[in-house]
Amino acid sequence: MLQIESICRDYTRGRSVIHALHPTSIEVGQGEFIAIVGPSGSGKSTLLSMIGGMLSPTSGRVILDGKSLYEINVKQRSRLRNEQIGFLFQSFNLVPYLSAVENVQLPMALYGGDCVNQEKEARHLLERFGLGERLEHKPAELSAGQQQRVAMARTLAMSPNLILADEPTGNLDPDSRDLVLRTMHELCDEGRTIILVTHDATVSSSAHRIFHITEGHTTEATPDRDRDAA
Amino acid sequence: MNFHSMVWKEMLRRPGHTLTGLLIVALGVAALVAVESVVSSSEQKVASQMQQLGANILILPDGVTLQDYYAADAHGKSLPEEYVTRIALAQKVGVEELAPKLSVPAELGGDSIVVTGILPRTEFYKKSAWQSVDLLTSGLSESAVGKKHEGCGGRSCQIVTADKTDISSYASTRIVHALEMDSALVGADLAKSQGIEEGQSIRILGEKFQVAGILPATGTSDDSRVLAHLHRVQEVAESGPIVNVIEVMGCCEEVATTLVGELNELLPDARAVTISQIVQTQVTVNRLMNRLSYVIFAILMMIGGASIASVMFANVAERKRELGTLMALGATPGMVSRMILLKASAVGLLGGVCGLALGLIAAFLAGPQFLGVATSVSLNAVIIGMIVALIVALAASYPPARKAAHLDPCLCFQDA
Repeated sequence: MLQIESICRDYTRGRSVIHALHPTSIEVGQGEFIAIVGPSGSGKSTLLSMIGGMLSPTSGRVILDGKSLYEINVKQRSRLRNEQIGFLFQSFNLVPYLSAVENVQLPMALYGGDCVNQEKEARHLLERFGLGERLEHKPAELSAGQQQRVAMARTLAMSPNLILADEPTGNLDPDSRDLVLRTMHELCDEGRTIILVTHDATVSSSAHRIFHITEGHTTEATPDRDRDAA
Repeated sequence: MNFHSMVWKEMLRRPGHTLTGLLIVALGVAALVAVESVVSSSEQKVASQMQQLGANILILPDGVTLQDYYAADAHGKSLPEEYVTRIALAQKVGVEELAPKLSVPAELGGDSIVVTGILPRTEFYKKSAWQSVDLLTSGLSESAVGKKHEGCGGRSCQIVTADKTDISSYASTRIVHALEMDSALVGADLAKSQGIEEGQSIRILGEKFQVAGILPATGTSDDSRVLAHLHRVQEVAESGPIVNVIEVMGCCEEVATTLVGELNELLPDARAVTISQIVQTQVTVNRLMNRLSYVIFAILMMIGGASIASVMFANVAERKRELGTLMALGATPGMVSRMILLKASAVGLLGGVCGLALGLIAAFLAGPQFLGVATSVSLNAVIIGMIVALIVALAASYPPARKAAHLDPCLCFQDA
């Protein structure tokens, strides 16, 4: 489903070169739940950005469903990201002046289409996440847990096969965190692939596979090895 | 929800920021539309007056300014009536009518008025002095006091027809065809204010006059005057054979231009000026106002543009995370810059429309109130104002739109 072939990212500052991410290769199958853990500044978000087609690697390839992300133009990549990749952010990143239903509609509205059906679909998704009473509320009128549920509904708006989550539980209470994790697993069971970046061992331990990143170097661990290490 | 409604919702979220740029754009457009509308209406009025007055020349006493003349002729200086004869005998080409006038202050019904003595057209037929000249055979019965202008494209080089003998022709010819010594014609406004009717008797300067008719409204100072026979007015005012002004009606503008020089030569101690020279000042002022309005417009557009650019840059900076998220969700850089430009075009259009409304209100209020012109819309100003407002808004927003398009989508991964 997803092949990451020796991608790396370097930044040049004057004469010095900073290796944000050393060559990394990962193969991810359909329906897998991958956790990426590491300290701050280790390169997790850099790796996630490159997987999501938002940051060109200095070298290497990212192949999603047979398409090399960085061998197509910006417009095609944006369209592909819209249709096949869903994002979930630590800070939810909801648009503050749009209501819950409008936020969920956003990925669908970017490329036009039937507004009525889009709204219907958005409402359905929000009801699935228990937000049927909050459809017209703005993000500021929702709790953190509710906002993250809106964000999850938005992530699923285009029915993506790949979901990239950057610390989705970082700002949530334990109950909301558990809800998010449960949802992640349900989505995996539906056949979606999830790559999640986290500091939280509880979250990472529920993943099928765990990758550690330290100072730009990526190594794979197993959930058993992690438990033993703890 | 669609792309456009998203832009609109974002604008409504922080209307204050948008309003600053919009206001300045609106002011610029308003200034342009208001001034242009008034100026163009004023020019139309001037042109219409010029058409009404025809290719007229005024012969004034030397030293009398045009302002003195239009301030009710009470300038205290005069010309000998004999100058009229001199002009008629000179047989200048294209001279259709001569209207010597003497205006004196008087009282009527307790109000101060001006009585203008005018020599009727029929007087020119009677002038025995002229019988010695070829005027009779050259068609004095056609009331031409000058030679015919061959190939004339002007009013007429006219023959006096029945309609020209009616007093209603005064508005266009400035000549009364016939008037008895003890008769008077009353201007439309004066007749209305004093309740004077045809056939009534009025007393002016101690003498009784029969109202032979009420003049049609001319839109000039004659509407509030009494016109009487020149010689009768000279008699009651005890002024002697003098006049304040001699109006010379030329058949066309071409003739008028030549006649001015010729008349100045013929009457060295008088001053001949054309009506177009009189209104030239007004035309010059109009043109100055016209240019000024464009300068003001340009300055305000530059300020408006700078304000819009500043607001848009701040807006892009404020929305970095949001725009990064949009890109993460699949928006292309082009879409992101289009959002900024769409917002700018809305500001430009709204500013233009508001400015248009403000400008028209100002023009329709100010025109009649301060300049005495009934204002009509200057379509030029409307079109230019709207187009420039839109272009300025778009141009000012282009740099921030480019910046937005080049934002790093990875910003969406930054912590709040």
